[in-house]
Amino acid sequence: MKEGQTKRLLEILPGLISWFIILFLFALLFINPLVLAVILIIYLIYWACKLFYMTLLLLIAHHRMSSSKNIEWFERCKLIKSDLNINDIIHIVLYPIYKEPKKLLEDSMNALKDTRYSKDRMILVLAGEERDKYSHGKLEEIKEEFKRYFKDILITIHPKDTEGEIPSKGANATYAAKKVKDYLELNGYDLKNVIISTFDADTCPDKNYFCCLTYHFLSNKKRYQTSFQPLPIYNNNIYRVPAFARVIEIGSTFCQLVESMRYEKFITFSSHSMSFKTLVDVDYWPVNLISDDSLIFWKCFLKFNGDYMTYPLEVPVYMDIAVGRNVFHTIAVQYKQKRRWAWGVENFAFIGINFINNKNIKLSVKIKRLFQLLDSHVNWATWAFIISFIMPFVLFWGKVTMKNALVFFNLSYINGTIFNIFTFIIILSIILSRQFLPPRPKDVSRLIYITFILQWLFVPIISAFLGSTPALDAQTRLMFGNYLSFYRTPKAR
Amino acid sequence: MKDENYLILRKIFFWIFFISFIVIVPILVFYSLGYKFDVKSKKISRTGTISLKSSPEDAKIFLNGIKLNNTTPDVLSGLVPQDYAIRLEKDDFYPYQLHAKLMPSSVSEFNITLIPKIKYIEKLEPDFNIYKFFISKHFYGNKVIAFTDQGIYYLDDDFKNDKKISAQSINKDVASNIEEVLEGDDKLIAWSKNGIWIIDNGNITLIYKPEELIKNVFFGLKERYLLIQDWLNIVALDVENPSTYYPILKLKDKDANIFYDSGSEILYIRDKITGTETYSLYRSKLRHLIHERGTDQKAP
Repeated sequence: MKEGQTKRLLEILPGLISWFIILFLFALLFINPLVLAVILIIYLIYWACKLFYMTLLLLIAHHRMSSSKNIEWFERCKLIKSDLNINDIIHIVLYPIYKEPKKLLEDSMNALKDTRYSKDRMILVLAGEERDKYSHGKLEEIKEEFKRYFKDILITIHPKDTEGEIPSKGANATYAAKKVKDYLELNGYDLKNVIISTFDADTCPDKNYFCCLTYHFLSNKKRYQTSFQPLPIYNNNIYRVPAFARVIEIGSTFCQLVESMRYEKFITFSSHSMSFKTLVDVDYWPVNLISDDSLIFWKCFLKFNGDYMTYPLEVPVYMDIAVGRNVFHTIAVQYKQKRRWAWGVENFAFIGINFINNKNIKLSVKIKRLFQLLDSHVNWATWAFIISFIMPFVLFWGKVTMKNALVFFNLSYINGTIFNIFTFIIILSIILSRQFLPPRPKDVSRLIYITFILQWLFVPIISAFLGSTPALDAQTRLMFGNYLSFYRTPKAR
Repeated sequence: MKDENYLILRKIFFWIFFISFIVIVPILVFYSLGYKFDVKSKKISRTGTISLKSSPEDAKIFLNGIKLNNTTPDVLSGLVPQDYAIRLEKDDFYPYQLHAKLMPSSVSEFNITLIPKIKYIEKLEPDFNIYKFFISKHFYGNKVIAFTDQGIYYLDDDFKNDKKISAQSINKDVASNIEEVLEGDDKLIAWSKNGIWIIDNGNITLIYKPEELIKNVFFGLKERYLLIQDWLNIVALDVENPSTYYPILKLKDKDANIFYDSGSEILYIRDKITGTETYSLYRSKLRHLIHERGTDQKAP
């Protein structure tokens, strides 16, 4: 089979499996409801175990993060015994920018300049797009405003309509990183000592971010085979967005917290950091694919024949909750953002093809990694349909057609138990989410805290309609070769 | 805590939940399908479940007379398929009794509304499904005759001292159409437009099926005969020998009616004279009419 055909097959496979599961369960409702009830009971037990497991991971991750709060990372950096010295390290902070408002960029720059790390070891890269005609002027103004705080500020403008590229963050970041390489080489920096952090335009790093990152870079023996992933906390504009959007993004933060504890399958997501040398070695981010943030991990994974990992940093970065002009636009924005995240399913075909071509990675590792990726995307695309639509329909159908069948009665009972577990987890989430809240702006009433509790009532609706639909949409588009174009999430505060 | 320790902790949790899943799935699936392993007999048997809900909740549950520890709402699972007598009791509420016929791998769900004991309202003690009831007047007090799903009952008007007249039950639709119950010596006569039944020594027997529609029934000659107005025909049925009946009179108009004075044994008849629109009143000694009866006919 030709590589192109294999790639198409791998693109079709996740969507095919997801649709098969959903349609098979619906068909089974009419063919053999008893078998369906048994399958759903097993599925619910799986979910109960998974919910407990994920809740414990959430608590462990939360403990890991909160217990690291008082660590003096900078002191640790100075004391660490390493082949590298803290003074050798140069940080490149790359912000790919496209049409983000100046105010938002200024906030990010302010957060960056307020970090505890020495700014004379920090070079800021503002990567604009030629497609944004106001880009250059806006970036020049920001450079002028902030240049005194950093070692240097570089501005790059990614030319539009470059052959072989799609308009994406990855293409812009790659163009900028190549310019940075030239700059570093010109100024005699050793690329081995350079850490690059690529941040979304709204990313405000925690004060300790660069100290923590530097410490882990220095202390890690496989520093060139490691990406460093901060926890993205979506709270920059949390007091200004609709309640349901808050719930969705708190959910995203929690998911990332849980994932950070699954070391063996943890991969880069959104804003992250890595060795600049490694970035150059793997030929930068992909320029023709959407999910550049996760694909860079897989490129490194393949380059180092599977000996590459993502390390979860204890220190977070703060980002914006995607928000639109009004509630309905916010729903659309949230949907499109989640669909873009779910487009990460394109990684399956990418790594599938590359695994075939790479003979140095163990077969068991390849199978495990492919299965993990397939499992997470198929689960994402199906769970909400099964729990929110198929399950109630089956319970209703069972009541109508097989009123006295014990298995349907027990299915209903187990389903109720799962919801009780879910309620417990929501209460836990309310408590944990309080700790991620930034100080309340003065112009916002205290009464908003009531909505911070009531907002959790949206969870069943959000789960039903935004839980799986974006993922299934993304997989279906990929199945039919209807490739997604990069969606720039609107940022507003 | 070091990262290695977090990793170990995570792995421990993973294996705990993985093993839990592997262990729980077969147990819960078999349990959900109604299968139960009996440790004593070392056999797998099929069971059923009874789900009990009551309004208000927290009623005591008695299963086949044995009080259970739990109160409502409760799910009684792993029960051997058979008939169960269930009784719910709660202070200040009338007890409720029901019967459940439990099938294997099935569930019987009951959602019962308990009736509060209000000062001026009393509830019949046994929890029967009452199809129809009649009040029977006696010089020593009234009696209630109740047609129920459990049979026919006699009870005092204070709802005490219930006595089962018959274990047999008349079909619900038939019972609810009964017009009147006549009390004879040690027997009851129940009639509807479509039939007359005698309830004697616990047995219910259909003794008369009308040619058209029964309009009226009463005892005649000291409860010896049953006088039946079967549309335009007046027939007499010997209660001692109910297998035959005698036509004694034929009315002329469909709106004609009769009245029997048991004291004087006189039958009054209001009927039209043929060819006129006038209703006249007639009377006759019932004894004479019976003696001049028509040909005996077989009862159904």
